[in-house]
Amino acid sequence: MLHYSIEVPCLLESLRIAAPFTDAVLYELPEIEDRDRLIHDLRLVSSEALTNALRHGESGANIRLAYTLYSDSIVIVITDHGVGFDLDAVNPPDFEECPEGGYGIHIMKTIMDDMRYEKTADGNNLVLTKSWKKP
Amino acid sequence: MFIDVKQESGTTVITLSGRFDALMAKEFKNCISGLIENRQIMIAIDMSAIDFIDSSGLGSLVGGLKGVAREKGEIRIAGLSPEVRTIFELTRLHRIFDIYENIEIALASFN
Repeated sequence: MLHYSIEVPCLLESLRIAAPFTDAVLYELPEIEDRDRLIHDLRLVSSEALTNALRHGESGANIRLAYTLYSDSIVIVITDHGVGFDLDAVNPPDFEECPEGGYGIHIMKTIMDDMRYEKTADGNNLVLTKSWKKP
Repeated sequence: MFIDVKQESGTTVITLSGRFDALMAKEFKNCISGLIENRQIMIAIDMSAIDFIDSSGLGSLVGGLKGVAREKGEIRIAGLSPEVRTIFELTRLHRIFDIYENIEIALASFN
Protein backbone atom coordinates (compact mmCIF):
# COMPACT_ATOMS: atom_id res chain seq x y z
CA MET A 1 0.00 0.00 0.00
CA LEU A 2 1.27 3.47 -0.84
CA HIS A 3 -0.21 6.62 0.62
CA TYR A 4 0.29 10.14 -0.67
CA SER A 5 -1.41 13.36 0.38
CA ILE A 6 -1.13 17.08 -0.14
CA GLU A 7 -2.89 20.09 1.39
CA VAL A 8 -3.50 23.16 -0.70
CA PRO A 9 -5.13 26.53 0.02
CA CYS A 10 -8.79 26.77 -0.99
CA LEU A 11 -8.04 28.78 -4.13
CA LEU A 12 -8.62 27.77 -7.75
CA GLU A 13 -4.95 28.54 -8.42
CA SER A 14 -4.09 25.52 -6.25
CA LEU A 15 -4.86 23.40 -9.32
CA ARG A 16 -1.37 24.37 -10.53
CA ILE A 17 0.12 22.62 -7.52
CA ALA A 18 -2.28 19.68 -7.29
CA ALA A 19 -2.21 18.64 -10.96
CA PRO A 20 1.49 17.73 -11.13
CA PHE A 21 1.20 16.06 -7.71
CA THR A 22 -1.64 13.89 -9.04
CA ASP A 23 0.35 13.05 -12.18
CA ALA A 24 3.32 11.97 -10.06
CA VAL A 25 1.14 9.75 -7.84
CA LEU A 26 -0.62 8.11 -10.79
CA TYR A 27 2.76 7.34 -12.33
CA GLU A 28 3.09 4.84 -9.46
CA LEU A 29 0.16 2.73 -10.70
CA PRO A 30 1.20 -0.86 -11.46
CA GLU A 31 1.62 -2.13 -15.02
CA ILE A 32 -1.95 -3.17 -15.69
CA GLU A 33 -4.13 -3.51 -18.74
CA ASP A 34 -5.30 -0.14 -20.13
CA ARG A 35 -3.00 1.70 -17.71
CA ASP A 36 -2.79 4.86 -19.82
CA ARG A 37 -6.56 5.05 -20.09
CA LEU A 38 -6.93 4.50 -16.34
CA ILE A 39 -4.40 7.24 -15.59
CA HIS A 40 -6.27 9.64 -17.85
CA ASP A 41 -9.59 8.77 -16.18
CA LEU A 42 -8.14 9.23 -12.68
CA ARG A 43 -6.56 12.57 -13.65
CA LEU A 44 -9.99 13.66 -14.82
CA VAL A 45 -11.79 12.47 -11.68
CA SER A 46 -9.16 14.13 -9.48
CA SER A 47 -9.55 17.40 -11.33
CA GLU A 48 -13.36 17.29 -11.07
CA ALA A 49 -13.34 16.46 -7.37
CA LEU A 50 -10.69 18.99 -6.45
CA THR A 51 -12.21 21.79 -8.52
CA ASN A 52 -15.56 21.23 -6.76
CA ALA A 53 -13.86 21.37 -3.37
CA LEU A 54 -11.90 24.50 -4.29
CA ARG A 55 -15.07 26.22 -5.51
CA HIS A 56 -17.27 25.28 -2.58
CA GLY A 57 -14.81 24.77 0.28
CA GLU A 58 -14.42 27.25 3.08
CA SER A 59 -12.25 30.11 1.95
CA GLY A 60 -9.17 30.46 4.15
CA ALA A 61 -9.14 26.74 4.98
CA ASN A 62 -7.05 24.09 3.24
CA ILE A 63 -8.24 21.29 0.99
CA ARG A 64 -6.65 17.88 1.44
CA LEU A 65 -6.15 15.53 -1.48
CA ALA A 66 -5.11 11.98 -0.55
CA TYR A 67 -4.38 8.90 -2.64
CA THR A 68 -4.02 5.35 -1.33
CA LEU A 69 -2.73 2.88 -3.89
CA TYR A 70 -3.24 -0.85 -3.50
CA SER A 71 -2.18 -3.55 -5.93
CA ASP A 72 -5.72 -3.77 -7.30
CA SER A 73 -7.36 -0.42 -6.50
CA ILE A 74 -6.98 3.24 -5.68
CA VAL A 75 -8.87 5.30 -3.10
CA ILE A 76 -8.99 9.07 -3.56
CA VAL A 77 -10.19 11.22 -0.67
CA ILE A 78 -10.79 14.96 -0.97
CA THR A 79 -11.43 16.74 2.29
CA ASP A 80 -12.86 20.23 2.49
CA HIS A 81 -14.41 22.41 5.18
CA GLY A 82 -17.31 23.94 3.30
CA VAL A 83 -21.02 23.56 4.07
CA GLY A 84 -21.09 20.29 2.14
CA PHE A 85 -23.79 18.84 -0.11
CA ASP A 86 -26.07 15.85 -0.48
CA LEU A 87 -24.52 13.61 -3.11
CA ASP A 88 -27.74 11.60 -3.53
CA ALA A 89 -29.69 14.78 -4.30
CA VAL A 90 -27.48 15.73 -7.25
CA ASN A 91 -29.35 15.05 -10.49
CA PRO A 92 -27.57 14.12 -13.71
CA PRO A 93 -27.20 17.00 -16.17
CA ASP A 94 -29.98 17.63 -18.68
CA PHE A 95 -28.19 16.30 -21.75
CA GLU A 96 -30.83 17.74 -24.09
CA GLU A 97 -30.33 21.28 -22.76
CA CYS A 98 -26.52 21.01 -22.81
CA PRO A 99 -25.92 23.23 -19.77
CA GLU A 100 -22.55 24.87 -19.12
CA GLY A 101 -22.08 23.05 -15.83
CA GLY A 102 -23.21 20.12 -13.75
CA TYR A 103 -21.16 17.39 -15.49
CA GLY A 104 -18.56 16.82 -12.77
CA ILE A 105 -20.53 14.42 -10.56
CA HIS A 106 -21.78 12.55 -13.64
CA ILE A 107 -18.19 12.09 -14.86
CA MET A 108 -16.98 10.90 -11.46
CA LYS A 109 -19.88 8.47 -11.01
CA THR A 110 -19.40 7.08 -14.51
CA ILE A 111 -15.68 6.45 -14.15
CA MET A 112 -15.37 5.32 -10.53
CA ASP A 113 -16.65 2.07 -9.00
CA ASP A 114 -17.73 3.73 -5.79
CA MET A 115 -18.33 7.30 -4.71
CA ARG A 116 -19.50 8.42 -1.31
CA TYR A 117 -19.62 11.64 0.65
CA GLU A 118 -19.35 11.83 4.40
CA LYS A 119 -19.41 14.71 6.84
CA THR A 120 -17.05 14.22 9.75
CA ALA A 121 -15.72 16.35 12.58
CA ASP A 122 -12.53 16.81 10.55
CA GLY A 123 -14.33 18.00 7.42
CA ASN A 124 -16.29 16.69 4.45
CA ASN A 125 -14.76 13.70 2.71
CA LEU A 126 -15.48 12.76 -0.87
CA VAL A 127 -14.26 9.16 -1.17
CA LEU A 128 -13.73 7.73 -4.64
CA THR A 129 -12.67 4.15 -5.34
CA LYS A 130 -11.56 2.42 -8.53
CA SER A 131 -10.49 -1.20 -8.81
CA TRP A 132 -8.70 -3.20 -11.50
CA LYS A 133 -7.52 -6.75 -12.11
CA LYS A 134 -4.26 -7.50 -10.31
CA PRO A 135 -1.28 -7.56 -12.70
CA MET B 1 -1.65 26.48 -20.48
CA PHE B 2 -1.66 28.88 -23.36
CA ILE B 3 -4.27 30.76 -25.41
CA ASP B 4 -3.24 32.37 -28.69
CA VAL B 5 -5.60 34.37 -30.92
CA LYS B 6 -5.00 35.39 -34.52
CA GLN B 7 -7.01 36.35 -37.58
CA GLU B 8 -6.91 34.29 -40.74
CA SER B 9 -8.94 35.29 -43.83
CA GLY B 10 -11.80 36.73 -41.79
CA THR B 11 -11.90 33.90 -39.27
CA THR B 12 -10.57 34.09 -35.72
CA VAL B 13 -8.30 31.20 -34.86
CA ILE B 14 -7.86 30.37 -31.18
CA THR B 15 -5.04 27.97 -30.40
CA LEU B 16 -5.22 26.32 -26.98
CA SER B 17 -2.51 24.23 -25.39
CA GLY B 18 -1.89 22.48 -22.10
CA ARG B 19 -4.51 21.64 -19.47
CA PHE B 20 -7.99 22.93 -20.21
CA ASP B 21 -9.20 23.02 -16.61
CA ALA B 22 -10.96 25.65 -14.48
CA LEU B 23 -7.96 27.98 -14.71
CA MET B 24 -7.82 27.97 -18.48
CA ALA B 25 -11.64 28.08 -18.60
CA LYS B 26 -11.53 31.45 -16.82
CA GLU B 27 -9.11 32.86 -19.39
CA PHE B 28 -11.00 31.30 -22.27
CA LYS B 29 -14.27 32.94 -21.16
CA ASN B 30 -12.53 36.34 -21.04
CA CYS B 31 -11.06 35.70 -24.48
CA ILE B 32 -14.48 34.87 -25.99
CA SER B 33 -16.11 37.90 -24.32
CA GLY B 34 -13.47 40.15 -25.92
CA LEU B 35 -14.01 38.58 -29.33
CA ILE B 36 -17.79 39.03 -29.06
CA GLU B 37 -17.27 42.67 -28.11
CA ASN B 38 -15.10 43.14 -31.21
CA ARG B 39 -17.58 41.26 -33.39
CA GLN B 40 -14.97 38.61 -34.23
CA ILE B 41 -17.49 35.82 -34.00
CA MET B 42 -16.56 33.36 -36.72
CA ILE B 43 -14.18 31.28 -34.63
CA ALA B 44 -12.13 28.15 -35.21
CA ILE B 45 -10.49 26.59 -32.15
CA ASP B 46 -7.39 24.44 -32.55
CA MET B 47 -7.30 21.99 -29.65
CA SER B 48 -4.62 19.68 -31.01
CA ALA B 49 -2.21 20.73 -28.24
CA ILE B 50 -4.74 20.15 -25.44
CA ASP B 51 -3.77 16.98 -23.62
CA PHE B 52 -6.39 17.23 -20.89
CA ILE B 53 -9.85 18.71 -20.53
CA ASP B 54 -12.30 18.50 -17.64
CA SER B 55 -15.90 19.63 -17.22
CA SER B 56 -14.83 23.21 -16.41
CA GLY B 57 -13.04 23.42 -19.75
CA LEU B 58 -15.98 21.84 -21.53
CA GLY B 59 -18.41 24.18 -19.79
CA SER B 60 -16.50 27.23 -20.96
CA LEU B 61 -16.62 25.90 -24.53
CA VAL B 62 -20.39 25.44 -24.23
CA GLY B 63 -20.72 28.97 -22.82
CA GLY B 64 -18.62 30.31 -25.68
CA LEU B 65 -20.65 28.43 -28.26
CA LYS B 66 -23.92 29.76 -26.87
CA GLY B 67 -22.62 33.33 -26.46
CA VAL B 68 -21.29 33.46 -30.00
CA ALA B 69 -24.45 31.85 -31.42
CA ARG B 70 -26.57 34.57 -29.77
CA GLU B 71 -24.64 37.09 -31.91
CA LYS B 72 -25.15 34.93 -35.03
CA GLY B 73 -21.55 33.75 -34.97
CA GLU B 74 -20.11 30.26 -34.99
CA ILE B 75 -17.51 28.22 -33.17
CA ARG B 76 -15.92 25.20 -34.82
CA ILE B 77 -13.38 23.06 -33.05
CA ALA B 78 -10.58 20.92 -34.41
CA GLY B 79 -7.82 18.52 -33.47
CA LEU B 80 -9.32 16.59 -30.56
CA SER B 81 -7.06 13.86 -29.22
CA PRO B 82 -8.81 10.52 -28.55
CA GLU B 83 -8.72 11.22 -24.79
CA VAL B 84 -10.28 14.66 -25.17
CA ARG B 85 -12.89 13.34 -27.59
CA THR B 86 -13.86 10.71 -25.00
CA ILE B 87 -14.85 13.46 -22.55
CA PHE B 88 -16.99 15.18 -25.18
CA GLU B 89 -18.77 11.87 -25.72
CA LEU B 90 -19.10 11.09 -22.01
CA THR B 91 -20.93 14.39 -21.54
CA ARG B 92 -22.70 14.03 -24.93
CA LEU B 93 -21.46 17.48 -25.90
CA HIS B 94 -19.96 16.17 -29.16
CA ARG B 95 -23.50 16.52 -30.54
CA ILE B 96 -23.61 20.32 -30.26
CA PHE B 97 -20.17 21.17 -31.63
CA ASP B 98 -18.96 21.12 -35.23
CA ILE B 99 -15.82 19.03 -34.80
CA TYR B 100 -13.14 18.82 -37.50
CA GLU B 101 -10.11 16.61 -37.81
CA ASN B 102 -7.67 19.51 -37.95
CA ILE B 103 -7.62 23.30 -37.99
CA GLU B 104 -7.01 23.52 -41.75
CA ILE B 105 -10.23 21.63 -42.48
CA ALA B 106 -12.11 23.67 -39.86
CA LEU B 107 -10.89 26.93 -41.45
CA ALA B 108 -11.74 25.75 -44.96
CA SER B 109 -15.27 24.93 -43.78
CA PHE B 110 -15.95 28.65 -43.23
CA ASN B 111 -15.45 29.41 -46.93
